[in-house]
Amino acid sequence: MSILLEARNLTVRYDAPAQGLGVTKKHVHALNGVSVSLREGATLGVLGESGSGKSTLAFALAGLAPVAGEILFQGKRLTPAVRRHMRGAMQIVFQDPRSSLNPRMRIWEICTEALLLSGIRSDKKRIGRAEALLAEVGLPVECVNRYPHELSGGQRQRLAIARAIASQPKLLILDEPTSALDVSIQAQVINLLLDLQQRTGMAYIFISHDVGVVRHMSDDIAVMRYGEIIETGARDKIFDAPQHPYTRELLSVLS
Amino acid sequence: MSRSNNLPWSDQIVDLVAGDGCIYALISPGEDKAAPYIAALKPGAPTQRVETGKADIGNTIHGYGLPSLTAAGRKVLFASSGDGGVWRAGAGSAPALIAGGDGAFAFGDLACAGDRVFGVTERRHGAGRTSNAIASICSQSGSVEILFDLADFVSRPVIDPGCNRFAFLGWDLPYMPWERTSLFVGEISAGAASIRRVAAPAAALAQPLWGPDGALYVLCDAEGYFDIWRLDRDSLCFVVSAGADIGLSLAGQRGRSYVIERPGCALAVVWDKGVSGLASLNFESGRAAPVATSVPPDDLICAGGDGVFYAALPVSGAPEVRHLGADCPVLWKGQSSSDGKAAFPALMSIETSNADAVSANYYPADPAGALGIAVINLHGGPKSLAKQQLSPPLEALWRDGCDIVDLNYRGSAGFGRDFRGRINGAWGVIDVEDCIAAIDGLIEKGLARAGRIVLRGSSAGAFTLLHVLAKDSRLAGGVAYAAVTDLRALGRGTHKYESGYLKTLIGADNLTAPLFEQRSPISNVRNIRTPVLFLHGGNDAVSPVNGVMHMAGLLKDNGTRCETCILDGEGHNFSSSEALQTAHKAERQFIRSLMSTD
Ligand SMILES: Nc1ncnc2c1ncn2[C@@H]1O[C@H](COP(=O)(O)OP(=O)(O)OP(=O)(O)O)[C@@H](O)[C@H]1O
Ligand SMILES: [Mg+2]
Repeated sequence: MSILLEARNLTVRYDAPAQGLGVTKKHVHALNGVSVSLREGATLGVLGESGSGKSTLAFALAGLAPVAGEILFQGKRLTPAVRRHMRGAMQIVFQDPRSSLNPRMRIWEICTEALLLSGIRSDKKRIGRAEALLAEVGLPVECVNRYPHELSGGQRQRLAIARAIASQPKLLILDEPTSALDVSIQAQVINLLLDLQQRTGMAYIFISHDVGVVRHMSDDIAVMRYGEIIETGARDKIFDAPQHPYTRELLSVLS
Repeated sequence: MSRSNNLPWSDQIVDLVAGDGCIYALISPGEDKAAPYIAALKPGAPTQRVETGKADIGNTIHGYGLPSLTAAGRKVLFASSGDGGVWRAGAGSAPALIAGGDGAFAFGDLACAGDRVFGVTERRHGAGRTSNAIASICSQSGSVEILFDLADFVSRPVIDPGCNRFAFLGWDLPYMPWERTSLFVGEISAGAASIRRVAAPAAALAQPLWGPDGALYVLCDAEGYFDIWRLDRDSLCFVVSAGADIGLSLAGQRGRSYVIERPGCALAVVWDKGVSGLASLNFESGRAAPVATSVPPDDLICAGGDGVFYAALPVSGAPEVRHLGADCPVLWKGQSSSDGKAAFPALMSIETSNADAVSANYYPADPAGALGIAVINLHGGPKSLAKQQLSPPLEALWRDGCDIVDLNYRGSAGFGRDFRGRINGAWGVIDVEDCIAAIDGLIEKGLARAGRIVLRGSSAGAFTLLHVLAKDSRLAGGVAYAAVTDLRALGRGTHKYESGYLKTLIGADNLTAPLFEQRSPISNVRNIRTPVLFLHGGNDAVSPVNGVMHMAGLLKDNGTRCETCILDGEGHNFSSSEALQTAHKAERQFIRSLMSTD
């Protein structure tokens, strides 16, 4: 299968908070020369402890953080201009859907925002499309006129997924999409993602603390620490023959 | 319910042993339930099927069968269920019968050292009476010598690497092997006269194993979980715990759950709250460190010259034999009907009576085809385990669009000794409470709706199911496979192995005790208003079919919808592929009919 995404040498620096008076300005290397590659339709799982740079990687790939390095998507080098042209071929879903869903917008408006970009402005068309999207993510179609706060946590995450897939992306970046959910609800969202991937052939970058979930979802795995990828490879290889001692330690939290 | 009408299938790894230069796996093919075969596996080499002629590999000793394979140098020995004999087979030579085979004995659980083979024998005396013994067989002459027949049951003979000593387990009624067993040791040269019982706590011992260090190890649950113990001089001493059960010690005792990887260190299959994983156990520090694997292990692990190998248990689809730590971890992959997509199982915790908690494996349906029907499954234990794997009928229902809740009610294995023991004296009470608590939990969490919940269970699970139906009106229906309806009939029909089990479960010594009647589902028939489908083998000797017919008649008299599907020629466990398909079809049709009436 061909390569969908190739990122080389990604580096993101944040200014560290000044420590006391007159201390010279320091930088936090939130991402330090990270390279990843992802095949079409495959899932790259990203594991790493809190603060290791997982979200920063997600932001950088999605063009939401200033980043040095090179990102190739479908063979094209991503520049801001190319990104504008991509029309949602890459989408991102966050851990806490509440903060990313506009509370004043109705559900049909939320999940069809992307259609505005493609010039579909008719409300009727948008509502029709919204209903199809809700069905696709297993939300009751009656929700279409409601507001996000009327949904449960799991339903809000389904809505965030519906919004993300509205533009039929080739790549979905999922940053801890299930961490805020009860385990049984989490299983529903995981099965939804597996089902969507099978039906649409989307590729995923799946970021999580949960080793068990990453094991179930991923074809390949990247292990992050201190802003670097310390080990990457096929899931079987990472789990059955981890090379880096940190990987071994990280995986040994698995019950 | 429109997707594939066929029952999914998958190969199963029944046994796994390390031989000289290769691993032998006993495979039970899933497709059409063909006869089991032995595969010889070697890293970097193609899989070879061991020629076993017309012998059918397996045994039915103790009713459920004991392990059938043992490696003997470059050959493999196996027990055959057809003729009851011990056979030797291996690459490049024709299979040969080395002992038995005349039907007088059945053999199982073999161990081999030089030209000596140790095994468990079962002699059938008619009228369902059997006796078990440890026998020593000379593989040259085929002569059989009975070494020990003083316990009601024996299992797991093992021989030390130097071929000087042997050990085995024995136990007596009314105990089951997970309640209380004894360890026996003897000298090979001195034979029967040298056998003595090892001083050990009153607990369950399982899976004795000689380490490369010459010490005898055994699993023992005296401290609450199956931990590793060792024979030091004359008594058994605790070595290391994983803080969870090592091995499952189910009926059939097929597990090979740990290996001594190197002196002072074991690798074990650990069942932590019913979920399996590998762990490395250090004897010196007492530390148990989980070892990650990309597919969780089943209860089979072995160590050969090339390293450590284990059977891997995927949620659905084909099992694998994996080589731990190797660059090419998959040594063998079975066949299955699955398209590779598997449900994600969440471990759901449910609060139940007496401030206890039980857990269930929850597999939500694919959102695309979700039917909003929850199917709660009750395993056929009561001391069994719903592993994180969908059985073929559950997988089919999941693919149809049902949410599956596979419940590990109290009494299940893989949660330690206390949990397993909770059901003693309380069968038909706490298992029922746990099931009702699961229904409460599902409804409270918004994962299921009253009237859209179906209960299914087999054997003991169907017994629990019938009690739940009598108490809880939120169910749409119940599907009872091989149901236990009448405890007295069960007590009369059961085989020797389980003849004390029922009394422990009910908490009364005599079948005439009123409790046996009170706890029989047939006594509650008036309270059941929910539709029931009975699926039953016409030749079920454990729970006779007339009991089910009787109960079905009473239900209908009461105006409760009840259907029966009797499978001619089938026993307590359905074995033919047609019977399984027929049962599955009837079950789907029944569930569909429940949902279309509302
Ligand atoms: N806006 C910011 N300003 C300054 N530092 C930041 C900022 N965002 C992240 N960082 C720092 O960058 C590093 C990487 O953070 P990041 O959020 O990518 O980690 P993470 O792996 O996603 O952690 P978590 O698992 O907790 O979500 C951390 O040291 C963090 O403190
Ligand atoms: Mg993060």
